[in-house]
Amino acid sequence: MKETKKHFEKISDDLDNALVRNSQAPRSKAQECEEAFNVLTAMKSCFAHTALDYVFQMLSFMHAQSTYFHQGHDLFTDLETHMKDIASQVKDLSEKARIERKEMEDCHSLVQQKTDVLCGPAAVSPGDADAPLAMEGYLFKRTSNAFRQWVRRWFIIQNSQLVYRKRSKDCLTVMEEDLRLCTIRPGAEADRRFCFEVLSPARSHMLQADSEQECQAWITALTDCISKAYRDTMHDHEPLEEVKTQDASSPDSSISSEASAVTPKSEAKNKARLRMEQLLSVPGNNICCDCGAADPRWASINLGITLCIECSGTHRSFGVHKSKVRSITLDTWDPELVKVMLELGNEVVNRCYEANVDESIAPRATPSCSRAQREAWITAKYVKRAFVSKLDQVTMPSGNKIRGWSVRKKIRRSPGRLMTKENSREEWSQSEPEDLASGLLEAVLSVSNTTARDSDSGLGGSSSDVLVFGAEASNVTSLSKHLDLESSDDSTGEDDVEEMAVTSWEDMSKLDPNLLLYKAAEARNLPVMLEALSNGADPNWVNPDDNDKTPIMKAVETGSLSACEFLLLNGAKLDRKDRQGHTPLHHAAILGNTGQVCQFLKRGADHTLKDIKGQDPLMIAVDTANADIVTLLRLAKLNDEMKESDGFCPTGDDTFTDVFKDFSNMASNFPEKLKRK
Amino acid sequence: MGTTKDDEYDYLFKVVLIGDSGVGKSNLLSRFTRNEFNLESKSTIGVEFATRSIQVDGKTIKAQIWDTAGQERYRAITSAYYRGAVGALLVYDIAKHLTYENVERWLKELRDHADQNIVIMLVGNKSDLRHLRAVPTDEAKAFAEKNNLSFIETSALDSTNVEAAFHNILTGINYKIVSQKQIRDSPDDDNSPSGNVQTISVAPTVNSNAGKKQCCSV
Repeated sequence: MKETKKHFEKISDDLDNALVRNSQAPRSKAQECEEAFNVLTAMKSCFAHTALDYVFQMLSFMHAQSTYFHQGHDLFTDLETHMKDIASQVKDLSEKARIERKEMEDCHSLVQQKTDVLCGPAAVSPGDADAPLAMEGYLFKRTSNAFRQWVRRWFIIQNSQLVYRKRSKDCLTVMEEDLRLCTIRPGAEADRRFCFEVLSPARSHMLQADSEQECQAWITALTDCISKAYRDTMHDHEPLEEVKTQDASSPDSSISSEASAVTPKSEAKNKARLRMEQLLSVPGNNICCDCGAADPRWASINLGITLCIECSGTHRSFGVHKSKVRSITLDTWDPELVKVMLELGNEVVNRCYEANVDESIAPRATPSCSRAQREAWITAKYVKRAFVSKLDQVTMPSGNKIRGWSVRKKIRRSPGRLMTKENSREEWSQSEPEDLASGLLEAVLSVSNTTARDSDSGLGGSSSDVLVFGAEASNVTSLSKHLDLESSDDSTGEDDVEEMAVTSWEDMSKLDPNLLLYKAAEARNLPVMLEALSNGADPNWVNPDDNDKTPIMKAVETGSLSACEFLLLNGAKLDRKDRQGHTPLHHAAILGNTGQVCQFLKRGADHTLKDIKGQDPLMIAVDTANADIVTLLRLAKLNDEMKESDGFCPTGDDTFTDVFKDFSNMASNFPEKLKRK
Repeated sequence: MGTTKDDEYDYLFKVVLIGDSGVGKSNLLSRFTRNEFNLESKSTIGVEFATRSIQVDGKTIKAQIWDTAGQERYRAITSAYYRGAVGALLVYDIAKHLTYENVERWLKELRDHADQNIVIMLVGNKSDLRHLRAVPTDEAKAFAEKNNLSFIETSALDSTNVEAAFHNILTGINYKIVSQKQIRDSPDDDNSPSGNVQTISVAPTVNSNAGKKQCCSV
């Protein structure tokens, strides 16, 4: 038996070699192709014969096995309890053996018919007939490492995943875990024949089939699989859940402990699941922000809300300058984006955009309402901003004169809390009852009025009130703390991330959306930034009283990735300069905020701009000897040069993308690793 | 690889320069790419890049060389350095034994972070400092053989072997990559040029040339 197996494997390898030679034959050399093809044909028939022998051997082995089990059956007849079990098992087994034998015979005849098309009996599995959308077979794969060689692997399409394995090893490697994100196209630019390409958002795989027909068959199968997967998603709102369970039920081979290649992938999957749980655990996010439908699976990332598929369609129709729609389950999410989502959420956003709902303008959308009603509601809410409470109408309930205003500084959340869902839940559940019970919080503005009442007496006998924006997450004890801090508030240090800290007090005459956004950025308070934007603040407003800085420069000073990301999502530009000629990238380099340097470069910030002293960000980073920032800036420069000289690769170097991904993950999840002395 | 249009190179290889601070990595690079040498060069911060194209076996190879900081406090996050690198020049100073002792540590870092197929060359720099030599050539050569590295001694100051060091490693990488592409039998190709001259027929010359180049490296 083993000898036959060895012989079979040897012949298989020979066939592989012939195949390799055949596939390597360049398009241009017909003669070589032909020769290679002849060798291949010879090897194929040889292989077919050996395969028959091998299968015959297998059959006799099966017979031997079935005899063995019969013996076992005899042996255990005394054991009354086990007897029935074993008997049925043996029956099953011999049944299976018979079925398998039949399949093998089918295979033989198939091989006879199709030797000209297929490389061997292995290329068509018997299961193909009843599961037309699952396909498996050998393909050449171009390795993704630097050495780009071609290797032959057994590829399987299953559960809308593309997986492969080596001939001799049992472990499966997942190539693309969700084919819905992939497109398939013929690989015209490869130097080999019969190629096709699988493109996913992150990577591209070049695969080579053995013949034109096979190549077409693969392309068709993959395309069908993708469309089927999409159809399935329509019915099933839990694609991630689905993948998860399928994973568990898939053959034991994929769970084998040595399959180390699989673990990072499944980790990524877990991360995606964790992300969804995280996003949906934000107050209000479990239902659609606009119509209240359950289980929203879409999000508007610049508004920080979750949406059902119908409402997301309406959002999409506004264009990306109003609402940037992403799928929670299908799209890839940068860690900064998730942070933005976690700081906002449906409840916070609706407090702003539904502060003064007037259903005479547009009746509220419901999960089952008509499309027109939905559109009217969403348009009134976000485009006309009809329900937003206007800044200029702010009055104190007490009727007192308002003395000044400021924005509450948000406490910097530790990354650990963001990472584990238990903690983030805990955090929310702490603030949730507060939010609902205290009744302080119909809108960010009305909150501040309440706060103002408290701080009234704290202002040293002044009879006028003050406004504090963004105080909604506070509780009673922190309010009293507020009073103690009051006196030192005017000179609040930048590093002071005390929960109750506020920005410096501003005169009421200066209360306008632009300055509010500016101050909110300084306080890294996303809900207040949203409030300001909904009142029409310009994300690129320059503050003439503060060196002509823009809000994003103030956000850089806080070191907050989410505040910067939120501004960038809402149209903030990275090429603005303050009076020193510093761009946001300059500021990030000066402050040594590696995460933000990475963030800005990822978003295409121009790193060549110079300040009035003629320094670009790189010079600043070299002066301060910040190795990570220098590395990032030089990499970006190199990438630009490569792009220029090559002209064929608009996305730039893989290495560049990978390194930046590493850095942004690190900045979001383990910022302490990027801290330098 | 075959998709490039107007640019002149056939391959782009990323090569990293690593080794202790002060062994002369940056000067090796400037000597190779700009034919410059600076006795008072400052410590590298993070990473610096330079490129140069050379001819190997009839192909144009563009070397993208990453000169990394040797000094611990000027080094960026390690993973940034080794991504996509196909070659590494591990440099020590023949006049400073400690820099040679640390080669083991650098090898470990390579094993931990770089592609396992990476081509590594051990480079003993500052060979002009004969009177100060602290690391015997034979010892380093034996060490290199034991660890499957190629070996060369260079001087960035007087230019000795600098060209050869880069040339050897790029040839080695080219050879490794071409051999892994499982090149076609040469007899087949010998037939085709008789009919018409084709630009792609340069591949089979690799074996003979690579062998010749490699002998001067050990």
